[in-house]
Amino acid sequence: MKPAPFEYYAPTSVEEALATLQSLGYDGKVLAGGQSLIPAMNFRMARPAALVDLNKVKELFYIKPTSDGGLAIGTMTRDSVVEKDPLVSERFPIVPYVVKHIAHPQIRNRGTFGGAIAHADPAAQIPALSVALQARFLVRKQGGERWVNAEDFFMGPFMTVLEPEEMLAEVVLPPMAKGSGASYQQVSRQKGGYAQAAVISVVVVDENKRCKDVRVVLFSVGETPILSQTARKILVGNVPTAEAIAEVAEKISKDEVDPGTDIHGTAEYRRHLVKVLVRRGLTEAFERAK
Amino acid sequence: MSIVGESVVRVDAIGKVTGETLYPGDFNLPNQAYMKILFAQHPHAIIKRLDTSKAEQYPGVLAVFTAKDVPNNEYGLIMPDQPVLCGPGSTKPFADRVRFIGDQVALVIAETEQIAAEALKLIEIEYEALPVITDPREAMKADAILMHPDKGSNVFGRYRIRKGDVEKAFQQADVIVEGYYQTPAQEHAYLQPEAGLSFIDEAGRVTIIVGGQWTHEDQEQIAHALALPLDQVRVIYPAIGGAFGGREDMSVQVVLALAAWRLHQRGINRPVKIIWSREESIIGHHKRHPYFIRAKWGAKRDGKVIAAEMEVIADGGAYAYTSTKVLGNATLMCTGPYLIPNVKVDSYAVYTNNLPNGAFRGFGGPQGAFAAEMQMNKLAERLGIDPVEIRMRNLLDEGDLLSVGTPLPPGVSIKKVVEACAKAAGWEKGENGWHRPAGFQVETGNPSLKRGIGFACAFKNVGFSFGAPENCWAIVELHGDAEIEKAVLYHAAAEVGQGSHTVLVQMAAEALGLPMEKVELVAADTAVTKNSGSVSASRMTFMAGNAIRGAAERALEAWKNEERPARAEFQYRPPKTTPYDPETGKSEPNFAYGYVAEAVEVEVDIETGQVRLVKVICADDVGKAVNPQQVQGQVEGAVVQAAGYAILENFIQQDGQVLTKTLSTYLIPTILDIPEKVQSIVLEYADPRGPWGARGMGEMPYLPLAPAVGAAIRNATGRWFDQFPYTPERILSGLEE
Amino acid sequence: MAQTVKINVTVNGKQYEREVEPRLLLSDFIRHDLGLTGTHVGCEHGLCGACTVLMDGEAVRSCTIFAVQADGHEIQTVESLGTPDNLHPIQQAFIEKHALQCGFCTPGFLMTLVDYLGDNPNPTEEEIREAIDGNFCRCTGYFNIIEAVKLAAQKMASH
Repeated sequence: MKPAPFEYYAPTSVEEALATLQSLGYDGKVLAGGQSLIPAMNFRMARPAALVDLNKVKELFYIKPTSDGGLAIGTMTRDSVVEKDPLVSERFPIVPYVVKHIAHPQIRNRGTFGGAIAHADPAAQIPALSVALQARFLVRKQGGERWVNAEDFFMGPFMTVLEPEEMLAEVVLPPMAKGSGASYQQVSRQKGGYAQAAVISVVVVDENKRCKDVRVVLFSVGETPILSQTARKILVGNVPTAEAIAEVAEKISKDEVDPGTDIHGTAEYRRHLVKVLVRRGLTEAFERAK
Repeated sequence: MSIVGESVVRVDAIGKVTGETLYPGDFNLPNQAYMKILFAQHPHAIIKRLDTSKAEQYPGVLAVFTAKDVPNNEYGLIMPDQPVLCGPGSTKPFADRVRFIGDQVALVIAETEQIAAEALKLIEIEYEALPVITDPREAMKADAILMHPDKGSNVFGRYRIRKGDVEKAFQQADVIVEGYYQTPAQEHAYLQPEAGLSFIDEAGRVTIIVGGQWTHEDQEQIAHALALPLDQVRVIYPAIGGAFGGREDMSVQVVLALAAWRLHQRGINRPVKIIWSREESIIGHHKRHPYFIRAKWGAKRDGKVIAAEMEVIADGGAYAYTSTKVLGNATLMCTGPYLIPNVKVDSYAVYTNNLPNGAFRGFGGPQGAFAAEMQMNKLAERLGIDPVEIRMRNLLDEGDLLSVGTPLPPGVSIKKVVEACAKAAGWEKGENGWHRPAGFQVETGNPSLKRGIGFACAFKNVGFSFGAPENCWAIVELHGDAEIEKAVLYHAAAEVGQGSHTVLVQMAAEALGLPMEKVELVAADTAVTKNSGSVSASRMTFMAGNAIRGAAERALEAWKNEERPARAEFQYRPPKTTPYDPETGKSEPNFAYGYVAEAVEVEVDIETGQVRLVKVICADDVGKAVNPQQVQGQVEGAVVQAAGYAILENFIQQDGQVLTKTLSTYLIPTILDIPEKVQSIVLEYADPRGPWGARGMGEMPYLPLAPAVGAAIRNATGRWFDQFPYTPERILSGLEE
Repeated sequence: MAQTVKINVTVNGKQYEREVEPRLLLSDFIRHDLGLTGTHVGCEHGLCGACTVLMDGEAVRSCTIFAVQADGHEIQTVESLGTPDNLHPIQQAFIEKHALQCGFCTPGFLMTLVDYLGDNPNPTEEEIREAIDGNFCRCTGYFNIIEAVKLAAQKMASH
């Protein structure tokens, strides 16, 4: 048997899950889709003392429209369900496109939308997507709940603001503004493999094609998803010319990312990729916003 | 009737699609125990102390074996330079040390795999670290520490070719082109990690069910290490989940046999099972050799190459494995399938503390071909001659002398192969020879995406080379009374996925004039078959086909003579080959060859450095396609594997440690990484020595791919890259220079 | 003594009740506890796809699911697809198009495709490639597998 031993709990309701997490404290770890956690356990890079498996908590699997035109996604909703849901592609066409780039079909059949967020892998797509789309997270614990903005959620590699007794229960995506366009760009050595650098760009333009809002989120090039401030400063209120976009790309790659060197590429190369991908991504997003 | 030449369905297809087929890890016997291996934790160190007492006392542990338990503590395919288990108390000198991190130190056999794994951690071991050398060029230096102190040098293989006078020829050359080529290691990444089961069979033999490429060689090496008579050891290969050369040397065979045998001696008669994890597989078996090749070629203005000078250095890793044979091939192939009057080659196989390097599809051919074809393409460019045309002016013809001073065996078809490939890839023959009217760049409409066309060709030996003993047995048994009701073919060939068993049955049916349904194959069990040689060197169809024809003929004769069953055996021996002369390299290297040419189109993203292989056209002279569908499958599989080698895969070792021990770090092509199209052109110019004219073909499509990609990248970007894999970062930094 | 959990799981239509340690992977449960060796293990961390099985009809990797998680679920392995005399059209197509060599990856491809073609009876070549990008094959170069999927789709449509 590959993983180290652990205690196993399989609650069937949110209340039961929260009670279990409360009693386990630091020993407890939520098992959602397990597509990152179980491989880590197979290599014994992760050795949780106890797993609280949410796969039997039926009430956490859903995609619901919100009245403002957004969506509420239950934390255990499988990636493949998000990928194929007509409402998701109608309201957020960028979402299925990004989700399709997560690993492989069998993994998306098992991996969950909320699980990926709570796992906070700096190379994962969904955390960055949630920041780009200004998602809000419903965080619950026994006898309480709070809302956290995606931007404030990720603390470091595999680290979030979640306390041991807390659970990410729901992801709410506010509606895309009128005049929005989005793009996803990534470079990975092997298709379906980890991105060496990736960027999700969401832009909003007004009738005069001026940039009203821009959210450029980079990942795999720092400890958490990185929301660019530079893009906003340079582009908002202006017509996004090729020169302006190039300037944004240059500045982001220089100032806002902190890629590391690994066996697939050096930090310098990944920094360079950021420049190329931001330029391509913003160009495409503004084109789509027209 | 013609069964040879038909795309009959694989004989193992139904079992493989229903899940019924058993691979080495799928066998279970009642009461079996499990084994885990303690690998070296250092790439180079002397084991000063090894204490297994705590592990032995761990509940559920049956036994722990170390070096002192191995009767003849050595093995190796071409020379026994590797301890079965490293550590003190060995029967062989210098076996107290580990030389790479996959060296095996101790075996724990326990009731469960779990217990064995836990007990492994209780083995106490003290190392005295030795200097680690990972670059063969360093290891060649006079003051380098010796990996094998008894050998006196880290250079364990050395060839020289001296033909004509290269110095004089360089003076007469109109152009000289030089390159320093570096080719990478490659992991076989067959999908089935090593596994096996050992037990004492009903006849008292130590029996191993395992995956390999040569049952009888495994048997011999096991018998040697265990100091047992040959007939006391039995090796059985079931279905094997890929090999590609990676199972030619042994992994779990000897230790499985040792465990079952030693337990038996202690009165414990329990089968022993092992399944390696992917990480154990990656550190536990050899890799393709990295090569360092310095090349200098001179040519006349008309494109005729008149001189080639090569220095070839192969990183052998910690043990010899098949390095000297691989080096022999590379030494021959590094000057390409060309008639070059003046050739000087110096080649070396060198020990380092890297993983051992050994057989991998192409066996030195890809490395040699990379240097040769890059040189030829550079010459073409320098002289302003079309790459196909310059080849046509230099390719070997029937009777032309190789660098080693002898002609190729009859059936030289390389020019026809090059022509077929070139035509399919848009070349035409005009007044001034071959040219490609559309040029070598392809417009993409996107300024950051550049496309280029590249061309390369190669020759690949079929069968063992340079005087290595070469033969193959087949036994045919005919049952029935008036009519032959059933034929049984006994043959040792391994089925590693390449389709050998299907082809064996096809050839036996053809030779006997029977339908395939009447031919039963009993394969790959040393107890009932005779030595076939390995499934490697593209040799099995060729060798087995000739052996089967011989056995079938004799069996039919016996049948006529009323023998029931009529049984006959036959040993096919091909024409003799001879080793390199130590001074001049003069030799008869091989008795048969296959010929191949490839044209490729690649796309380079000049902003990210990513290289995408778009299209491949591959022409192969296979002599006779015994099973055309399987031939096509070999071509496509080889091309994609070679594309991985050229572009995607990147085996990284640092200070003797492997950094790519998983399939998430060692990346092989997925279906989204393959070309849009691979067009195979199967040519059938019969080999006069081949069965039904067949040549071997499993390796050759692999050879020209990397240099063809190199040429295409040059045409796309204007840069030559003499080192691959063509990773995005390498391409980008080259473009920035 | 390590914790064990009683599970009830249906595998290829047959109900099994077993006591398992929570850390037992579904792949090991299928192969060792149930003796169904058609499910192969090639990497143990969710990459190669050789261990793909169906869980309630969805293709999943059995090496990244614990056996306890299969409690109350229905698992299908390659052994459930067809018998030598009555092969599934996808199995037939793999044979006819020579879409396998060593065959070690084959069960994983087949199970992925049973799920996929059930939902997408008429895929384009590009869609086929995306559907099986999580299954590694080191022998075939994948081209014959693509052809087999096309043929399987035709066979299934005419059934």
